[in-house]
Order: sequence, then structure tokens, then C-alpha cells
Amino acid sequence: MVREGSLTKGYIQLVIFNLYEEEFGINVNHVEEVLRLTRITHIPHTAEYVEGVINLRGEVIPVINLRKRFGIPDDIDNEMKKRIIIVTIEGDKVGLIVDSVREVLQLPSKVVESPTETVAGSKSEFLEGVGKYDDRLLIILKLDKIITTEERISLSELQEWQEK
Amino acid sequence: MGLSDYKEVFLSDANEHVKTLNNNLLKLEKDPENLKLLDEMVEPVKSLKSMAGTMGFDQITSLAYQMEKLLDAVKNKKIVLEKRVTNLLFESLDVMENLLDQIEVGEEVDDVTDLVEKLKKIIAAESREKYEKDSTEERKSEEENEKESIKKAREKGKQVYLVTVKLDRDCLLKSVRAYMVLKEVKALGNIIKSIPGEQDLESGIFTDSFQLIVQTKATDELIKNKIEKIPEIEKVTVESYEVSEPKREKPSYMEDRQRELLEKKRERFVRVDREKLDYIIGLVGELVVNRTRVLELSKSLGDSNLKDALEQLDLITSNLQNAVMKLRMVNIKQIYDRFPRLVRDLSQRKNKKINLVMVGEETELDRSIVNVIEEPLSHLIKNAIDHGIERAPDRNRLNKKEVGTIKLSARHEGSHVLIEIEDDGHGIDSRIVRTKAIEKGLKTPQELEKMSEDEIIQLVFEKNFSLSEEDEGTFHRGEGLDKVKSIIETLNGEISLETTIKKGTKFNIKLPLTLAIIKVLLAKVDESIYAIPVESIRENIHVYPKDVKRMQGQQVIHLREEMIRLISVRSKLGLDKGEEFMDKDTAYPVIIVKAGGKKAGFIVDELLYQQEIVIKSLGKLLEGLRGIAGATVLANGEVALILDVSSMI
Repeated sequence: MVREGSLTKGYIQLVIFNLYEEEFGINVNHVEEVLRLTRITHIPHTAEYVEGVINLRGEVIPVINLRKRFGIPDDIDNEMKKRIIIVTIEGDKVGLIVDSVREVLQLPSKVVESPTETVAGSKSEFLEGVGKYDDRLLIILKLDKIITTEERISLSELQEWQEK
Repeated sequence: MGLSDYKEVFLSDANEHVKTLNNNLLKLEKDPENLKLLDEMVEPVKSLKSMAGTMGFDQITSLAYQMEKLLDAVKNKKIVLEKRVTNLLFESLDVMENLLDQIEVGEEVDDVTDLVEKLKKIIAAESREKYEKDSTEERKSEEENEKESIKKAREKGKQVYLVTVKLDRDCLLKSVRAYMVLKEVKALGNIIKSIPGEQDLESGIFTDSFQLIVQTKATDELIKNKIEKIPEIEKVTVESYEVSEPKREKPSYMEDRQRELLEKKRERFVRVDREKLDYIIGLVGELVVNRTRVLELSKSLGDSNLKDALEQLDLITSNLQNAVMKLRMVNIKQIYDRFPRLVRDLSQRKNKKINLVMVGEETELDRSIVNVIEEPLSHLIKNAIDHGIERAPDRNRLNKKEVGTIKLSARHEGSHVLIEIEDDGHGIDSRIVRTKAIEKGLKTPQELEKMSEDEIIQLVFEKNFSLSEEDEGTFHRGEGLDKVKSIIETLNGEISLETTIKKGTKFNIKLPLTLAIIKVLLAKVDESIYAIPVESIRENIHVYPKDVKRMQGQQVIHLREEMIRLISVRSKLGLDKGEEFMDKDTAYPVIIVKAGGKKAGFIVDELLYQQEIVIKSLGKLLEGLRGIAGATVLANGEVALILDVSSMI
């Protein structure tokens, strides 16, 4: 029997979200839930992409704006579509603000190319790989690095990688 | 009850035994003639041996068995308790502790054959006695001893009885009753054996009945009568006792008894997962916060029935809060117990004579604080040994007692715990601190000019400040007092030091009783709500811009003869660089705070109200933020940040 959210052998399940016309995926095992935008309390002296903290049923959880994390200008016109994806990284919950959440997709592992096979670019440590699905190219993120380091990552670098 | 539950009970008991043994051995080292101490050590070692035997932890069993034999040999004067013997015993205890740790995390345990051989060697070499090899044989010889003494007793015209006492099922004072029975019986004759052991009886660790094998000249009738006079005894039987031939196919008596004891202990203490406990504590915290909110709301309604009901609720909630908080409280003894060994080992290595005095070991404080405080305390103690206390010849020259003293004391004061670490060493020379501060670029000579002696001494807590001249790479010199200070401050505590040259040094640590709930004043800054611990607030005032002076680029006010520096919370938090005090005719709220001996006034936009809040961590990602000590969720669901006063002023 396959537990909900776990992997069927040979497959990987992804939560697909949009960010600046690109499609990204994160492993469903990391994802706790998806929320609408809610009131965020700003925290001083943090990196610019740390939007602040939210109250999730009594728990205080930091929220990261992924647009800002990847150096994309923030889009304040479409607040209604924006979502906070709550993920668990090394036991801690963190919220990620994305443009919109599309779907949960099951992808055969073999269509995912891992970074080592293609380019050993400096930013490949932030990527799990690229998934090719029909005509779509999904950038699959490796969350722990993205969240725990403050190293700059730009979308163009991720795209550049994706094109190879 | 599954095997893993037994394991938990076993581990906690075994660790307790090791602690006791360590302590007794330390005492024994100082007072080798004290046979009572030796006796007190045999019991826990035996207990370790049989408990481990039952659980199948063979390495511990064989180690404990050899330790027991060594102790026996010392007791029987076959071995002199000289340094190498004590050292070997200490080593055995360390290894034992290590084995227990390994069992706890489920690792494979180390092989202790080498150590066991060492113990055997010392026993064999020193005492010509030959010992049997395994514990079954030993048990047999124990039985033979028993037989022997019974035979002797009979020869002397004494009778040997088996006395079985059953207490009332709902007897409240089992240990007291057992003690009274023992006392009565001892008045009549000798107790050859008690099942379970006398110590356990007196601690009440038994089901409702126990047995004594007694040799006496008194009649069975008399014994029975005497015991029946004791209250809460349900039944007494006294019968002539014959030693039965060993029929030990079934689990041995010892094993049965161990299991029984474990069961028994479980009835008195309930073991709860730490997470579950913390969850309950968290919920109670929320309840307390919401109670406050409801009380606030009810005030505006003016309904007297509601008010009565809420007062009742208020009382119950407070009681509940106190009761739950007690669950978190543990004795500071837990960490005290580590220090005698530390002092012994280190002072030996440093060739210094040091007496450690510990006061107030019953002082209770929050478990989470206790867990964190051990490291800074042992650091301060190590410091006192390393740099405080002089070597004996130097002390003699200075007309001081040859043996230095380190005094560790803990006590409650209001809602705080005060811990002091005091040594009678050579103190800290403020001139050296001054030189070092300049050397390290911490302060300029001009700045130092303006500082008081006391302020200069406190510089030792600054980052990277080390007073030791030589660099002893081998020993724990990694972190300095700055680390100690920052740990204490993460606990919302304070540390300061007093020192007199040639007389000694004293560190004062002030800690909150609990970390989970604190009282704060809520204030608005830039449309967000911030919480300031009431703990560090002295008063709230209003300041008119005309009263603000500028001194050395800082805004200050005069408050009752005192100059107080003003700090804009807004700009300190980097929210806004706009100048404060735009409107000359408005009074601005200022909170006067004090932390780490410094005072300052926080300028805020608006004062709200005081409230008890539950502190929540911001998680690993946002750990160690400047100016922020944590967060809390307010009754309306909004998150408020808690200001870290000491890092802001």
C-alpha cells in the first residue's frame, strides 16, 4: 500500500507552483499545507526576502518571499492569487510565498535530470533537478539549501541551467 | 509493560546509582576510614549488577560484579584504598555511565573486558582470596553464608523465624510502617535477611507485604503480638524457617524482585513523553493569556454574575498554571552532582588543593533552564580552578588557607533564582583588564578614563576577551566569558561579577524561574506591536521634545538627577530612519528600562497594556536576531515580537 504523499516506486510527487512565468516543483514530502496570504508581522534585521512571521494556529512561523529570494521584482497586483506553502525543513516549519499553486503532479523519476548529469554549475546545489513533462519544464528545488543559506540566487541562473 | 519501558526505568535507576556512587566515592576518597560510606556503596553496585543481569546487559553486570568484589575487598581490609584503587573505581564509573548512554541511544555497547581484567588483577594481586567466577556461584555462596548463620544461631539456642508481614492495602505510610516493624523486630533479635532489602522497605518500595528472616530468643507468639500492635498491619505470620534446597529452575528471586520493584516504581511515578508535557504546558499558557483577555472584555460589560464566574475561572486558571509549572521544575541538584567530579579531576591535574562547597541543591528551576545552565556553570568553575585559585605554596605565602574554596550556591529570590560562584583565589586585577581592553581594541584609553572600576571589570564579558596569559590549547579554553554571558542572556538572565584582588572573585547569575510565560508591556511602534518584558521595565514616562538634550551625539533626558539615554525603538530596529520628536508640543511615551546594569529610555509610538504571554521561539531560521528575544501570539491572532532589552541598550 502506498501512503498518501509518499513515493510510488519510480515516481516522484511534486507540488507545482508558479513564480514569474516559470513552473517550479517541490517534493510533496516537504509540504505541510498551502495557505492564502495572511497577515505577516515584519521582522527587523533579517534578509530582505524574509517577509516576516505568521501565526499558524498558535505557532509562529517564518515566511520567505520566493520572488525576492530569486531576485525577481515583487508583484503586488496579484495578491489574491498568491499562496503560502508551508514546508518542513529539518524539523522546522517555514512558509514560502509563491505566485500561485497549480497542482500536485506525479512524475516518473526517470524524466528528472539531476544537476550532476548535466552541468555542475555553481547554483546546482539549490536544485534537485529539472523535470520534463509533456512540453513543460519543471524546475525542482532543493529547499534546505535555499532556506538555510543566505547566498544569493537569481532566477536567471536557474533558468540558464534549465535550458541546458 | 513492554521491555522498552523496563529499559527506561532501568536506565533512570542505574544512572541514579552511578551518581550516588560517584558522590560516595568522592567522599570516601577524602575520608577513607569511613566504613559507612563503603557500605552505602555496596548496595547500589549490587543493585546495578542484578538489574543489569535481569535486563541482559552483560557488560554492565560483569563490570558491576568486579566493582562489588573490589569494594568487598576494601571493606574486608584486603585492599588499601589508595589512589590507584580510587582512580580505577572512578574509571569504572565513567565507563559504566558511558555504557548506560549507549544503551539509552540504542548503540552497541563497548566491550569492557579490559577494564574488568584490570579490576580482577587488582583484586587478585592484593587479596590472596580466590573468587568464584560467575554470579550464580556467588549467589550460592551467599546462600551458604545464610545457612551458616542460621546453623550458628540454632546452636546458641536461638530460633530462626520467617516473619511475613502484610500491610493494609490502602496503607498510606508504608515506609513508616515497615520501619516500625523493623524496629520492633530488631529489639527482639537479629534480622538475617530482609526481602526486599531494608533500604527498599524504608523507602516504601515494595508491594503490600514483605518477609524477614529473624534469629531471636523470643517466641513466635511474642513477635507476632509486637508486630500486630503496629497500626495498618493486615496480617502477620511467624513460622520456623528452614533453608530450602536451592531449586532455581524458575527465574531467580532477584529477578522477580527487580521486576516487582520496577513495577512498583512505575506506580509512584508516571513517565510522560517530554513533548506531551510541553504541549500541555503550552496550552495552559494560551489559557492564561486568553483568561486575561476575557477578564478585560468583561470589565466593559459590568455584569456582576459574569464577574463572579470569571473570578472563579481566574482562580482556577492560576492554580492550574502553577500546578503545570511545577511539572517543569526540577532540582538544581541534577547539575550540582556533576561538579564534585569536575573539581576533583581538574584540581588534581592542575596540582591545586580545592574544596568545593555547594549550597541550595534543593533549589528548583525550570527544566529547560537547568538543561542549559550546566555548561556555563561548569565553565565558571573550571575558570575558578584554572585562573582563580592559587597553588598551595602561593597561598601559603599570601597567608591564605592552603586549601582553596569554591562555593556554589543557589537560592530563590522572588520570581528569580540566584546562583553564585565564589572562589577565594587571587581575584581579577582591573589594571590587567584595562591593558587587555586597549590591546584588543575594545576601548580607547580615553573611554576607560570615564569608566568606574566596576564597569571596567565587567569588560571581561566582552567578546573574545581572555585573561589567561598562556594559551593552554589542550584544555577547554575555547569559549570565554562572553559565551557564558550570551547563554545566560538567552535565558533572560543576567550575569555580573565582583572581585577583590588577592581575595577572590564572585559571579552572580540571576535567572527567571521559568521561561515559558512572562509578563510584558505591549507597545506600538510603526503599526506593529512589540512586547517588552516587565522584568526589565523600571517606569513609563512621557517626554516633551523640549526636555530632550543632546550629549555626544545622543539624546538624553534628566530624570530625577539621573541622565538617561533615549533609544528610538523604531530606528534601533531599522524600521525607519525618520527623526523622532517631530511635533514639539506632543508628549512622547518613553519606557525606562534597565538591563545588565545599564538604564535607557525606549521611545515608542503608543503604550498599550500589560499582559502575560507565552514565549515562542522564532525557529532555527531566525535564531539569534539582534534585538529580538522571541515572539508571541496575541489574543487577536496577531504575532508580536518580544524585544531583547539587554542587547538593545
